[in-house]
Amino acid sequence: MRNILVIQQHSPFNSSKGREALDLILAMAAVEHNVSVLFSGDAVYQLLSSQDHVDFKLKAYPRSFKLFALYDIEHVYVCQHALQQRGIEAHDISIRAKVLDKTDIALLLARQHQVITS
Amino acid sequence: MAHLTINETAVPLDQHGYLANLQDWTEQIAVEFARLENIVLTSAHWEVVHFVRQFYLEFNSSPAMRILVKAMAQQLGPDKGNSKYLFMLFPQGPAKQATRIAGLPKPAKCL
Amino acid sequence: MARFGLLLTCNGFANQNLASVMLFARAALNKGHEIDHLFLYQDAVYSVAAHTDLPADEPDLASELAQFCQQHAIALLFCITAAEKRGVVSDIRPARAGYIAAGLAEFAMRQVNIDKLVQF
Repeated sequence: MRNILVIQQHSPFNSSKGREALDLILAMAAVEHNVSVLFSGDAVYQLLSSQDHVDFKLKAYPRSFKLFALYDIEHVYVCQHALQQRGIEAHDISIRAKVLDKTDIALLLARQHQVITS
Repeated sequence: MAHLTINETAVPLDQHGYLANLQDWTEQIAVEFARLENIVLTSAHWEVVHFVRQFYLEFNSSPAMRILVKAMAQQLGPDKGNSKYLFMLFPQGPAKQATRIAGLPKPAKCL
Repeated sequence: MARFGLLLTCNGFANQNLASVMLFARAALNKGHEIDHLFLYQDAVYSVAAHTDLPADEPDLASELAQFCQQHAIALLFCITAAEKRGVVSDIRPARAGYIAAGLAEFAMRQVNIDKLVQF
């Protein structure tokens, strides 16, 4: 078992990178790695409930984030700076995620065996 | 495009023989898919079929085998949430067959 | 000595990641390190297409990578789902020689074999 952090960096509105990162996250968790997920940069938009609108034409994969609980993925984080830059309040986030500042993120990175970005 | 004929209506299928449109699903379609899979649906089968469909509607994702087992164990108890039970009902692979009968997209091969 | 896993996630034609990964892998092996696997995911799976058509004066890095991995007995794997979604492989379109269809599950399991994962 390894500590593996997957960093989501992309908006859900213009690519499927976040979607494939989600598949990767679930695959890692399915074989019992200790998986953490960090939403940073434009990936914080993945946490808004707005992608559920019917006119949203990419697969609404953020709805599948509810699977985290079923896969025992407890370490879900969001970058405070990214939220601030985009004017998103912590209570707008659609899943349970802990807000981390720069120092916390550095500590999180230091705890990992592997880090994957997408 | 391939289709399934139900009551003289053509229901479109995808290239893998799974239902093309999630919302087209009816229990009658389920019975027809089961026939194609050589399965006679019992109440035990129906329970799993409804379970995977509900799973999809909630999570927007077809369950992979491992997670189907786990979710069923949590909700219906360990007697049903185990792969032996599920393979008894769906011998060619529960994730593959139950999702087809439930009108869901084919689950990803790689998970 | 360390054991490495290498992950490629961007398009090998549009980027220099195939060249970089080979430079890295060579350097690592020269220093006595081991490489357990190389896994292609996301847009990196485009390198698996067997029917690419390159002019003679452009380096065929995807083939070089396959030869390199074969020489050094490194598992060269790609995510079959990512490749099928992009039309890179299908029932009638086999993968480029040397590239092995695998899944995220295999990639996930191989993480216990390695000390470090490097992404390109």
